[in-house]
Amino acid sequence: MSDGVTAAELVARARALRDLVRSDAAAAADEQALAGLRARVTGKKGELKLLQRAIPGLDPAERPVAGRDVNAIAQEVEELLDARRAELRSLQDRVAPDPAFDPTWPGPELPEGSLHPVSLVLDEIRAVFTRLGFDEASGPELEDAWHNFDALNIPEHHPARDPTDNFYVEAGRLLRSQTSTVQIRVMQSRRPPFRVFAPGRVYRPETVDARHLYAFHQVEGLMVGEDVTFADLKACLQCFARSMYGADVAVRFRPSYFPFTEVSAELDLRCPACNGRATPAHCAVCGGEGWMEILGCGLVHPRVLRNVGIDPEVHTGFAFGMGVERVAMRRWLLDDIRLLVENDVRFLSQFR
Amino acid sequence: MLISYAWLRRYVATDAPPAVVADRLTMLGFPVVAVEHLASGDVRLDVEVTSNRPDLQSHVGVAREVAAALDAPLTLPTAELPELSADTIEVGTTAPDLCPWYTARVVRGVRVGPSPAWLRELLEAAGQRSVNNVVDVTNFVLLEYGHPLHAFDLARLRGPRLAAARADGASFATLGGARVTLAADDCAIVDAAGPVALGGVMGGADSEVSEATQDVVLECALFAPLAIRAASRRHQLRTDSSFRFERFVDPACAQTASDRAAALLVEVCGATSVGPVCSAGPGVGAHADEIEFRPARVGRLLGIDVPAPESERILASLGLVQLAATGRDVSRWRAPTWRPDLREEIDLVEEVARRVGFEQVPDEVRIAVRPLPVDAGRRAIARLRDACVRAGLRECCTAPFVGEGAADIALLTGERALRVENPMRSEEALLRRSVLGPLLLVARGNQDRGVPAVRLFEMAPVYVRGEADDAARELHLLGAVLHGTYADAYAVALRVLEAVGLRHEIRVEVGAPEVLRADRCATLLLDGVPIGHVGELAPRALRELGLAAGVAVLEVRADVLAARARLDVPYRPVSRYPAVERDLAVVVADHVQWAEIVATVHDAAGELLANVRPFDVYRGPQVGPGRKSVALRMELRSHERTLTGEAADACVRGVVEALGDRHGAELRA
Repeated sequence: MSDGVTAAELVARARALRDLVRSDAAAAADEQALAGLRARVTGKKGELKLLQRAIPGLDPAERPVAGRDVNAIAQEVEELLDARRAELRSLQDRVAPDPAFDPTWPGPELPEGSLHPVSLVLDEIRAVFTRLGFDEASGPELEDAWHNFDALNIPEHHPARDPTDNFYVEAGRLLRSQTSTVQIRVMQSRRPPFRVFAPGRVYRPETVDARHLYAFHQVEGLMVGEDVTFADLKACLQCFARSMYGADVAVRFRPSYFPFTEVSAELDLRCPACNGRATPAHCAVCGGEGWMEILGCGLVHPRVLRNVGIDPEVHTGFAFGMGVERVAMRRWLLDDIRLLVENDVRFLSQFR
Repeated sequence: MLISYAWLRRYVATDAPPAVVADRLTMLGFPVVAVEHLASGDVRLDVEVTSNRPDLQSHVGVAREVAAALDAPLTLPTAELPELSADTIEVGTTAPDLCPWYTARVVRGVRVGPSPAWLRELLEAAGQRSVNNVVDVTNFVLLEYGHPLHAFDLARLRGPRLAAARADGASFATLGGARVTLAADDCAIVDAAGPVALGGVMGGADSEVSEATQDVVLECALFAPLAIRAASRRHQLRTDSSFRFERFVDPACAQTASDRAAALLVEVCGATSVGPVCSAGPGVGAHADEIEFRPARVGRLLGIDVPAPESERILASLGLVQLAATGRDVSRWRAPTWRPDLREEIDLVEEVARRVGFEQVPDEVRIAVRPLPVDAGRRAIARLRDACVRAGLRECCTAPFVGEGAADIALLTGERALRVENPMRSEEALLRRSVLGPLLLVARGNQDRGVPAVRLFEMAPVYVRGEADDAARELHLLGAVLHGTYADAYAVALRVLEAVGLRHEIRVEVGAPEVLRADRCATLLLDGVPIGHVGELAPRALRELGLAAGVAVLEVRADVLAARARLDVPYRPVSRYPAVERDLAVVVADHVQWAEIVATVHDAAGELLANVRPFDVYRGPQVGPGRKSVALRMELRSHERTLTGEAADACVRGVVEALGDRHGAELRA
């Protein structure tokens, strides 16, 4: 280019280039097109760079003026490109609404797993008792008669031992009919004081209907120490009821009977849905009774303590047991307990 | 127990309305589940009686409880009998183990007919249909005192003797009209010709009181509870009588009940003479335990102070009799004959507590908390469960029973299945040895409901027969069933193993029990011991379970994984320098596992290896038979500096060399 190019020509070419850039920049639709233009003009091998590189080859007398002019034009081109970029960016920032855009169009299906509703409820119960300082314990489902009956003060000929009420298995075992068996195992393996809860599954051959299953879950609890009283029982279970059902829930302790506790009680919860009004003929939650049994409890029977080598004169304790499926039914207003064992994916997928 | 409010008020002098009585009973431990206002003006209370209180299966029993609780006077019925006749009947019991006490008396001159309105109404309020005045009298006394009675038509008995006896094989027609053949352990009531009643359960049609009856034999006996329970079960006969004899009938009340019924036969049926009670058998001792009671124990157990006189007043109100004390701070009591549940001190403490009311016990007490650290095994189980959920599986809850056949799957357990002695259905005769059986049935159920593509899991115990005769084992397994291929199930397995930090401890071997496809199955080993299986369900299993093709399963020993879990592994520092990617394709023999390739790449690349993944595998003419081309992508980076291209290339050369040495791998052109 240095071959015979005059300073005037060089400056004229630069001006022409600048004018071209001005129109091209205006025509550039987006930043990417503009960046391409910038590379063609002011890049390492850009046209303007080539012109600038020709300046040293000019007549030394004309060189300063031409140099100054071309560099000024180069400066002008940069500014022009910058201005257009700023303009494009501000255009981009001001996107107009799109009337065809549907914000409710669903995205792709995400793979999703879920926990069983019984697990969800168990996790909540677990959290409450953990907060109350209870350790989690467990025991086998396949039990012997001693743990399931004898140790729990259920005498040899008690109807609770009937084959119609238990799943007996060969090898002299049975599927436990209550998680109270875990009480016995804990008391055999730990020395007081202790506080444990034991979630688990139990089995009773009941005819399955909308309210009954032959395999269901219980949570058992046990606290033994030197001066554990019925007041401790009330305090702990009151805390449990508040944590699960709300701070202002009303409860009542009503006398009851279990072979392995005495003094025995049933904990009733004032129905949170109808608030125990006398005439809620159709309360979906309590069925109109106003109160709902939520668990059985009581002081550990002294014979049970003696059966595991704990002196009832020294140590006392309380125990409780509750059905888990019932909690789930109340929580989600399930009208049929069998939903919990059918494992219909259309049901399971509702628990997220 | 259905209680007539009017009947109750015959014994308890109270103005308390039915709702108050119902509430009181409920809070004494006997929930009244229904209060029904009857057309007769009476009110029927449906009282739930706990099994320790057989005495409350009667109006007198409930009256005692209500009177004590309301502090109201109790007046029990009296039996005013005419002077007894000399009419006797020979009685006996040749089976005192079944019937330890048998009595009967002769009542003559009854006029059988409808009962008077008061009797009919009370019976109906208590849920008992009126039959005729004689039968109604026996039913009335049963519901009044809880002691079952039976009236035979004297003229229809054959011979002058009634006895309780075994009559194995003999048969008779019951009141209901059914023919019952007696078993060896049934207690029959026999006359000279054979059975006339199944003792304590039901009378016979042939000696039934009818309109023609003039003289009756009134039976009042005691039967062994277990014998009655067995007979009631055996013959499917559950009567008000068997219900009470199975539980408890107060022996001390037998004479009272007999006298009361006889007096009513005079009053209601016009009987003209009443004979003496003729009895046989050793009898049954009335319950009368002497119980020591420390009033201070009430406070110690309840957490509130109940003054000793208050406790003593409550016990006395329930019919306990205070005896001479044996020491300071201890009183002695004799329980009433109708309360077999009162045997030791704690029983008396409960009586006091019930009456004082649980609402008196405070519920704001301080309890010190000293929890143990959270058990590592439980944390591991929670992680396994979460891993399954994150892998997109839905948790199921199945029953542990399976039938013989396709659902009785055994993968990790060689032992045979345990048999349930009393299954609900033949399809549930065995305990599961794998959670996959029930899960596959769930998959089938969903398929039938139009949801074929499921991803399910369950963590649950399974059970197997041990080696010794009386041994049984329980294992905890995690099973997953999913619509897909081996690779889908294996991906879940990796997630699960990673969740407990054991992915790199596990070796994978081809092969598994034949419920899985031989060409798409593997065994997971930990220290050489199988702890899991992954695979696609074999065609035969699919067919037998009625499942469409494309089901993959996974089962692992959750208990072993939990015991061996590495939960708190230190973190790996993250490099501050960028990574370099290098792709590589090598040809190896078909049997070379990806896991082996990874191990070699790992060893050769050392610290520079951030990650390695396969992105293609090719088998075909270009690589020849028995071989495959595996394309892999390595991510290399250094913790000290930005890795140069030369350093990365050198690393790749080392990898290629190592793959060649160990697996005969050739770099694919």
